[in-house]
Amino acid sequence: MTAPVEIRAVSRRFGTTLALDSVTLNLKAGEFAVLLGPSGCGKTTLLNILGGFLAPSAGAVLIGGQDVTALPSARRPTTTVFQDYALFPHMSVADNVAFGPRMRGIGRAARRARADEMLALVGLEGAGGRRPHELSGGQRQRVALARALAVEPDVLLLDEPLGALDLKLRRQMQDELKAIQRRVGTTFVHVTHDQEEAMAIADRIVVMNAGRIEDEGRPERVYLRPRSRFAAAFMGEINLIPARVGGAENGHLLLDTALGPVRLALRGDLSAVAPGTRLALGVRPEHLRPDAEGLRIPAIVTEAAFFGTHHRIHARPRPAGPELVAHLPQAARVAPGDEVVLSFAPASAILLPED
Amino acid sequence: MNRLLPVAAWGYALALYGFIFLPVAVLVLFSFQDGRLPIPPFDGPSLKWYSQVWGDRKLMAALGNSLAVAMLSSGVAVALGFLAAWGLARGRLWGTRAMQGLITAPLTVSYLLIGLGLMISFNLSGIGPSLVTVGIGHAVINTPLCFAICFASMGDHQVNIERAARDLGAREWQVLGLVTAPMLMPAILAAFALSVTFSWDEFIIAFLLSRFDVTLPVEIWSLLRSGLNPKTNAAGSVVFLISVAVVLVAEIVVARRRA
Repeated sequence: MTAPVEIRAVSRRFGTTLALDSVTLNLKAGEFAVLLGPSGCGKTTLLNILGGFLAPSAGAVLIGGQDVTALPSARRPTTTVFQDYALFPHMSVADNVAFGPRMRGIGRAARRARADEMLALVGLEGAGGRRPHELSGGQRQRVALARALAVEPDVLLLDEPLGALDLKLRRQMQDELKAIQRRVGTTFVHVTHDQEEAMAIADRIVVMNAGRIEDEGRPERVYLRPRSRFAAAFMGEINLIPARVGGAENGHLLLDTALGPVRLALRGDLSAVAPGTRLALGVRPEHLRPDAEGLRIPAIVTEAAFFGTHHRIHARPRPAGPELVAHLPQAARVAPGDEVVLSFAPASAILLPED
Repeated sequence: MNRLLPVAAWGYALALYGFIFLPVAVLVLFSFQDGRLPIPPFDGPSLKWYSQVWGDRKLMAALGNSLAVAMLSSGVAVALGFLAAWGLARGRLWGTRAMQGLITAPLTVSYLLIGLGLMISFNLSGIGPSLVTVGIGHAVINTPLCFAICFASMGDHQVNIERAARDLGAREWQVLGLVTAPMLMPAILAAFALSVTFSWDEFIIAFLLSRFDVTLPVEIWSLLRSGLNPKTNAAGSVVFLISVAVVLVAEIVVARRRA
């Protein structure tokens, strides 16, 4: 089962701090949404409000068009996969998974079958007779997922469920989560601070900071065209180059940057952009390349490291400019002290407000 | 110095355990006395005093009374203590700290005072002394203990587990009965076993609050009034043996649940 989620101007106050500041968000039915942000950004607070563990100070939550703001968690069409799994330690794995159906008054045989079906879905066939403490972290995670899905929730909430797993297992579980989500079609709302994880699984990424939504949209859009400096920096490494508007001419914005003049093609009305406005030009390290067309930046390599898929270098532009981070192709040969000429296509640059 | 240390440690341990267990060992030893007095020299062993205890109607009735009072009063004490601990650990009430202190405070009050207070209260309210009042007295002294044990075992990690149960549709009584209580069963069993042993050999409250039907310690006390006799040793040994058995069973059950 699945349903859309509507969050209307939800705020939450803890004492004097505002953990959520009038957050509005609409999620489509069957969407895999990821709430992404640093700790303390309000993402877990928002998840707890969706799950009914916390009441909002203001605003409303609608699931499937029904206002659930006043409903306790037991009566919401949501279930949660907790960060620490929160499995019932005194019950077998099968009884854990069958707990939700049991609370809904489903008979012993039927819920037993349901538990087996769910355990098969998460790849734990035949583990039903074991106790949670006999399982590995990854297996417990799967049991928690099976338990939450056993009641066919409209919305599944996942609170940093992969945080305790090692990197390899985490990547594997991401793929499985995504596959399971596609199979069951339930709306997933997943909280994480790991932007790679967010991009690996999300249909929609919601970047949060200080109780507000900084940006939200498809992973490509949020990564390539972030709407705020915070979102740009949180989604991945970025070079921020101070810039000043020099003027506009037929669909192009002329910028004076610390590295030289840049001509950006922009759609929309440019007459509102006053010459002299200070901006920042964001360039991702992988867009700074020795072979790209556009502004040429001679620079001296100050540091270089091989990352497998690329060389990551720090370079100091000559004669002047902010230090840049660039990813050079795998086959490149660079060492500190080398001279390189970097360039980037203006189309790949991101225009961001100055601080 | 380094060689002396283990010797000193062993000597200290022996002295300590001797101090604690020698009286009990002497009591048990002279319960097997063949003569009429439980004093050296020891001649025996003989089981005749045990068979006398077994044949003593009043003693056996008192033993049954003690068992009933211990089980029922401990059941009440554990139930009250557990519920209070759950309420104070999970609920957000005003003055939680103060209430917590108030519940555990009776642990520091002497049984004599509690017994006298209960006796006067029952007297005023027209309730005559009986095994029921003894049971109430034991529930009064054991509830703070059960509360303290249950409260100490309620950690924050269980909060999420209870949340998960609610999230899956459990009502509050189902959370309590299907998740919280089973999860805390080791603590609950430990509290119950301790309560049973405390009630089992408690004398002063049982003495003040009973009249015709009495518990085993009170019956042993009336035996003692007629002078030293290996039969009292035998009865005392039975009390000790049952206490030990309760504690051992509790240990085994708790250890198995943890495993």
